[in-house]
Amino acid sequence: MTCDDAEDIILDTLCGAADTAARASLASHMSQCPQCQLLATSLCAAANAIVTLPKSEPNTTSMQRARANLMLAVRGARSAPSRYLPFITRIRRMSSRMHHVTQGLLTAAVGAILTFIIIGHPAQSAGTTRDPQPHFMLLIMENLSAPQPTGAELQQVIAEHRAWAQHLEAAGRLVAAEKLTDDDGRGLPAATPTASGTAPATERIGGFYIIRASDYDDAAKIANEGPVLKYGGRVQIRKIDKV
Amino acid sequence: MKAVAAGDLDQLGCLFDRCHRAVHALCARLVGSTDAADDLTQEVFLRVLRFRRSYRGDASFQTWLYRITYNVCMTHRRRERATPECQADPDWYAHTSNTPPDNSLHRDVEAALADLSITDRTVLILNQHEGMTYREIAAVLGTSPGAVRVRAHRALRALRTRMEQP
Repeated sequence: MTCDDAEDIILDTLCGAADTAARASLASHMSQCPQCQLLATSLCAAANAIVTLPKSEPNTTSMQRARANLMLAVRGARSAPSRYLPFITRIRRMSSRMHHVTQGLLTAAVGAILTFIIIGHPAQSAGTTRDPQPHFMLLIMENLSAPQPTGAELQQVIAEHRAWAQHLEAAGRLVAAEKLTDDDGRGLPAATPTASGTAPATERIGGFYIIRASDYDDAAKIANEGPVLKYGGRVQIRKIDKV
Repeated sequence: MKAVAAGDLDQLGCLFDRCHRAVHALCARLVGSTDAADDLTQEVFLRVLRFRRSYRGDASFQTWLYRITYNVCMTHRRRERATPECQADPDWYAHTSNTPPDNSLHRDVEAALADLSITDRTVLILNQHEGMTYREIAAVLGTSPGAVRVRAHRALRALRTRMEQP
């Protein structure tokens, strides 16, 4: 056996691909070849260094969002004609990438587009898969003149919203929910000073829910059960027009 | 996965819960950024949904899932072609729970891995980290076991050389 052959077998051994006979030949060669012993030691160190690399921990919030988006796409795949699925996933992917844009508003737009594509598609309109219940958007209006929660208190607010969203999901009421970033966003035309455009300067849209409800009274009853009012916020309820 | 392929889409949530960490780890290692890996993990599972009917069960689910992951990472690399092969995330070590920030050995290995092509890196990670055989990796990459062997040898040699540099 040459040293080149030995090197190949050393590498195969480290990759778990050398058979017993090859390993026996290698052992025999290495017992008489200090150079190959050194080579084996350094290659082994390189392979071990990879093995000991730590695995990355995914960001919990991002993974929760990814799972929610996946389940939304599942819902779309159930009811949408399959040719629309690539388009739907592309829109959602684009939405997740645009960190610098107000994510929630874009998601709301995507939600509206999805609603149009999936539910409002002419082929579906006359079919049986259309969601029979009206959808309502609950816009969470933050009161900017009141002290804003920070730190542990903010985490508590988020946890309560998350729990409420899960409760709505379990009750079959939830269509979508997102928190918006805590900045002023962008308004168009450029002179518009607030994130929401039409909202007064003392308020800001902090997030939204899209829910299923029978009418405005039903939607208001649901909104009353949520954590928004408890923290001094206001809820603007709008019915979605399924055009 | 067989249930998902057969139309039981609710099982996709369970599949995500069970596999997203492994997918995220591979994405992070291949593209060198945990933030990008977050987005890519979502993309992988959306592709699982989209291509669920192409899973026939003749290869292991892990192989099929890693093949999608590899393709998603390759697409990401192509899109980011203007930037160098692997921009190591400066916060990489802050994201890992069990690595001290000043672990110089891990930094050296990361830098050495970053010098490899994404395919060679995939071969090394799947072989050394995931314990996959040449044949299984060949199925992931859509190539032959012989080609995988050549890549594995070349990558290990390069890694050794890089790590021995002062």
